[in-house]
Amino acid sequence: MNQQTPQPLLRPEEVVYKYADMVYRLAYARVQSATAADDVMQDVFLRYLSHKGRFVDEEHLKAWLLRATINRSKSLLTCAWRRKVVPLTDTLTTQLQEKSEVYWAVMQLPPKARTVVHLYYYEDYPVREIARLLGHSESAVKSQLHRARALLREKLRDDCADL
Amino acid sequence: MFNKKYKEDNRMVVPDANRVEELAKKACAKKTGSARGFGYKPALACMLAVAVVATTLILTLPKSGNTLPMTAANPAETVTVASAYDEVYTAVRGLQDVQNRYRTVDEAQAVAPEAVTSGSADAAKGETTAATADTNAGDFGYSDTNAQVEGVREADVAVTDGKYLYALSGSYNAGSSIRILEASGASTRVVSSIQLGDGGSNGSTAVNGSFYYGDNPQLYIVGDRLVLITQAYKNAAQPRTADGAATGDMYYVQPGESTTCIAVFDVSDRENPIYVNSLAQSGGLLSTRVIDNYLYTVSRHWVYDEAQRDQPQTYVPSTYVGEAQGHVLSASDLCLLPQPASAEYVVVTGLDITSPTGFVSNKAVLGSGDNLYCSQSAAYVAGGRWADGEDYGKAYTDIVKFSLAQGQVELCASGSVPGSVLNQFCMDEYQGNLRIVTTTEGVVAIAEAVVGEEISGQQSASAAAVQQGQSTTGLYVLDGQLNPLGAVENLAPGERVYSARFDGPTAYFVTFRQVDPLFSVDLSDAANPVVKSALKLPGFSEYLHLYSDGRLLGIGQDADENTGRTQGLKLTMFDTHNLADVTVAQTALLGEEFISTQVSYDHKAALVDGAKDIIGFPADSAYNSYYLVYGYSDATGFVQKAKLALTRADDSVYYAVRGWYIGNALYVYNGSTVAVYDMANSFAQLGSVDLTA
Repeated sequence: MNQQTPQPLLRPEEVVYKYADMVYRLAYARVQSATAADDVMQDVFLRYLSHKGRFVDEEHLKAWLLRATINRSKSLLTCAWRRKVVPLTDTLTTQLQEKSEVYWAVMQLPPKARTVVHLYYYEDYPVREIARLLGHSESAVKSQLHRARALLREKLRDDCADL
Repeated sequence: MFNKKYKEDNRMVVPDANRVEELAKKACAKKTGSARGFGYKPALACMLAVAVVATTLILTLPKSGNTLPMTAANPAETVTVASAYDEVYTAVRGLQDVQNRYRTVDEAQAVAPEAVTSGSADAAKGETTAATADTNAGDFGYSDTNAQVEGVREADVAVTDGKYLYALSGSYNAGSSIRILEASGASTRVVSSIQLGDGGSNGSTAVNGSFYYGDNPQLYIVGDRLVLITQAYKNAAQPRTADGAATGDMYYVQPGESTTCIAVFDVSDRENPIYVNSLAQSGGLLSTRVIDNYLYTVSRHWVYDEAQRDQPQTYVPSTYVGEAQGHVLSASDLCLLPQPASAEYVVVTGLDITSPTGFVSNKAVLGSGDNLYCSQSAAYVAGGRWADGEDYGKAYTDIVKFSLAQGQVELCASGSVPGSVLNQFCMDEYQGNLRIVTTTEGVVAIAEAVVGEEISGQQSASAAAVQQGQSTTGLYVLDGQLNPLGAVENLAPGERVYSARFDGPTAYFVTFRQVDPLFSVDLSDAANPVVKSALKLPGFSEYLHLYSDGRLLGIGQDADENTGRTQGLKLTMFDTHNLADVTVAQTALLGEEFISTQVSYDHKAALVDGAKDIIGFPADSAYNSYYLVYGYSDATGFVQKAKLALTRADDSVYYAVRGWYIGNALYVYNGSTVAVYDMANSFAQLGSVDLTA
């Protein structure tokens, strides 16, 4: 709405290529399983393709995709309260994930905290936008972040100078 | 560095390239004439609309509507009842257009955690003998959900009425459900279930098709009625697609539109729960309270979509009953804060649980809300706001007061105080007045900006700004109309509030940076609050509970006096007999073994009963989780009575822990299990029930 010139339209397949990683990463952070994250990604893009509404701009589209990812992975979370963290051997990609303990520490946070941490530290969303995405107040998001940082500091003494 | 490593790690999380290709192929195939990407609104018309709306906003708001009587002493905060939808449309559009769309980097300072902790709030209020010191026990020999105010109940993920436990549970295979257990010690067992969702990737489905088991579910048991409140995404009743067509699939609701859903069940026969009705209101769930048989539900509705003047449902919240079409709130039920922070409403509804055919009343305020405090007759919604004018960046809290009476919600007043509110415990109503404790952040952002510039000649300005960078704490007293009565400000510079508790004419609150002052304030003269003492200790309490006469319990963290680094769990019993000289009676440093507790941010995880000598709470060690029970006496201090291992099948999943006593049995819930222990026999385990089976 603040744009003065029209943005070029992204074709649907361009949207897929551009945002598949983003959707997958957020889903993975939430559901902690490559299979489930893949399910979520499929769901989200299929719904995007059948979406009848218009997006105001790319920011709007991006927020829609993130929100849909959160929704869709939420139902997997609530039904899979006891899903275990999938061991490293179970991945769909051939690149082996040598993730540092930072990633695993984040994966041990409660689901809401993981989501906020991911959106803040990976997607670089400010608190205000995260609050909009999640439908929470800014102070709720801030306290989630605060709590998450405290938990992470406990686990990651060396890596947390900037937390 | 965390940020960098987390980003690096994430780069290795990639979907399977083949799957992405498949999706892209589907995308090509689906493409038809109309674009599926994003479009743009005609830019020029948009700009004009902004100019017109913004001006209108400034001119009309203070003059229109029915102004409530407010004294001149509080000029900024005159909430007005809307006179017509048009006025509301103008306000909402104005907020949507000026909302800052550009990314702003949020500083890492954040605010103190919402230490949502409560205890049964009645311990002292004047009358105390040991027997009545703690009313978690109630009159029935069992502990109720740990609520802040007597007579004002709060919802929880698992609740009890002294005979049965009602617990939310979920598993991948069985889906989500409410389990009803007969709480009979060793023979405790599940007697019935209310299924809320299927398992598997289909996700959750509906009860009666009207709502979905969603986020933040919580329960009340009120007589023979079981109430489930949850934040979900309502289907069908909201036509939100561009062409106005109603769809049955909830995912066509624009993301960001949460709905708070209420389902009522009749459990007169505990073994055969019967669905009665479901209702819903726009917005994400903020909080609820039950007073007698009336449920008050407060939600936050953010207007995500662009408002259309002639379609009130695009900018006004709605309520829903069963599967019927939504009902947009009428203009006379809408109020406008003079300076709403964003295009967001706080929606308050009243419902008679015994006769839930429809809401008794509903109101909404244009202005945000973060915390709810309820007394027995009023709801206070507090929302944070950052000033834009001369005191740019300074935080204020706007408070809107509603009267509550038998489901009727009426707008009473609004007021404003400097600073931010930590949680519900920072507010308390006493003799008609509202007391509120806030932390005012220093204007750090501006200070840093000025210092960063280093332009000669501005050095003195930057020095002054840096000095303003300290946070302070204040306690404010507002009268029944939320006009200022008295205050005590600028306490504890450089610190912020970590917990608070009120006890009639006395306020206790804890601030912290490295050292924790426990402030005790005398409010017996409402217009002249007086700080009686400020007891300094290392560490901080995150939850305060009135334990017994002259004894205040604090649960929190120990910390290094010099660095402020937390050092594990700590229990403190304060001697508050002499307000002018509050001291520590006893301390228990548990940090060697226990790092943290859920009580830090969830007051309902605490089971505190001075009469029964029970201090129960979950605690985490480095590798395991436990439910701990302590007793207390001045002579022997805190004595550990039980250390009960909580079995966890999955280390990575969070679950809420609760404990209740019923008679001599202690019941501990951890999301998937209810375990029963005999308090009369050294907490020997009597049995356990798997809720996921």
